[in-house]
Amino acid sequence: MSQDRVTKNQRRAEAREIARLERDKRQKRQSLQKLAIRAGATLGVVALLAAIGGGIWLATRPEGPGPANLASGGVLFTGSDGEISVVETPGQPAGEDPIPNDTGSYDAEADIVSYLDFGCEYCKAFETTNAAQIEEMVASGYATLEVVPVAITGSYALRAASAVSCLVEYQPEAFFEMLPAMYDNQPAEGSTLTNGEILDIWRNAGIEPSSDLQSCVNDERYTSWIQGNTERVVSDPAVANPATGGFGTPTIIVNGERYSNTLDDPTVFAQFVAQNARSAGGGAPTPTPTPGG
Amino acid sequence: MTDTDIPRRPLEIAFAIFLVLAGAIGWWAAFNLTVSKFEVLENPSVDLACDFSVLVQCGKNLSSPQGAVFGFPNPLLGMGGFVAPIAVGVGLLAGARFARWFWIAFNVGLAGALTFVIWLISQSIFVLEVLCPWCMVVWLVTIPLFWTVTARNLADGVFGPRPVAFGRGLRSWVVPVTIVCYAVIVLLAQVQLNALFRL
Repeated sequence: MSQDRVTKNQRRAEAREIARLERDKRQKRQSLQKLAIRAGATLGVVALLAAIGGGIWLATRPEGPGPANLASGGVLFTGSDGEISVVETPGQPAGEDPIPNDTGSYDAEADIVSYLDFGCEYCKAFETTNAAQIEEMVASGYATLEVVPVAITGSYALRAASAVSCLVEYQPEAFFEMLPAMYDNQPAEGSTLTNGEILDIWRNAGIEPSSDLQSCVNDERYTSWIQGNTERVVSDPAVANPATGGFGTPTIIVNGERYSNTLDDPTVFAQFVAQNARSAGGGAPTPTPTPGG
Repeated sequence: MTDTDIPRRPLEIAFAIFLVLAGAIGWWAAFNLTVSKFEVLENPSVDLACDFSVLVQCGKNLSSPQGAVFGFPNPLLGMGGFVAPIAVGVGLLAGARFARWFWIAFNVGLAGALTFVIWLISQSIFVLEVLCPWCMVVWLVTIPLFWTVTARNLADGVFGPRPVAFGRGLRSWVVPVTIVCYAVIVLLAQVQLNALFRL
């Protein structure tokens, strides 16, 4: 009898143990399931967001070559006898480094390289003061001018630089009418201009934008190229300001020498150019900024 | 409310440790932002250690009006505020129990922090067009802090018996919800700033 009861108890205990093990197994399976559901849902939503982002990116940023006449990251103007001409180049192929300009063949006294941001107030000060005399220097053949459009001040600067790149591609002959007009109408800090307003500024300056140019401006076609150009310039130690260790605009370089004097006095800049002119001993050819990483 | 029946202990400990870690990380980020702010004040043209590029920098955020919304630099708020989760977490680890009003106040504080962070994210991405490293660390910890504490309070009946079941559900979804929040920020940064291709 007693033997029988023990077996019964043992059996009961065994059954309980089996039930417990099964319950554990079930719980483990359930918590695994729960984890899988959560992981799956997370992956699903993140994938959906990635697809949305990828779709928007593909729709708005086609990888194409950069703007024509800006293969070096800048546009180069030369002149003789009062006529300014642009050095024509194809666009910078997507994913490739810019091709630096060789200014040696133009026989100018000074090679001026100017890094401009169209939203930057100091650039406005410099250009308002000096754009006209630089234009004269270039027209007479005294100087060459390379303008490198960058955008470090925000979204207006980015669209403006893209629009200017469009102009350099389609109507580079209008560059020197465009430049003072852009700075005269620079929006106050924190505000902006639409693409249509930028085109209107050009029209008021006597430029008639072709339909190609208009659609290029309205498509904001070169914003991603400008972003790339800006990153390259900003990370280029050759154009960094030794005083701050970083890049700022305007950065004006004449025959390799950085201009760091006043932005408000045209005679000071003219003197600086004369001092660094080749005939004055500033003979080193302008080191063109090396394409940085 | 916070009965310490055995099966919930590991969860409570994990919750407490998370509060301490997240608070400490957030505090460290706020501290670094504050120090950077001092450096900018000493020398406005300083090249900050957290300035990496046009896109990734903290100088622009620190010198912007958005960087001092209440009239003083925002990171000071963080240096004060992030002490709260550290204190609560350490208290829990030491076996402290908190009154219902305490949990509500803590939750309200975190809701305020999250609201502020959402505004800062929108300003940083859409107005300043900059991703600021230390600021992003603050975003990264504030989001899960809010969800974790909110879910814990709901599940523990701090806000009454009705949302308890919902709170339990939410608690098990905190990690997915946090990851999705991060993904939304990445998406916004990508669409607005083309961030992934400029890093």
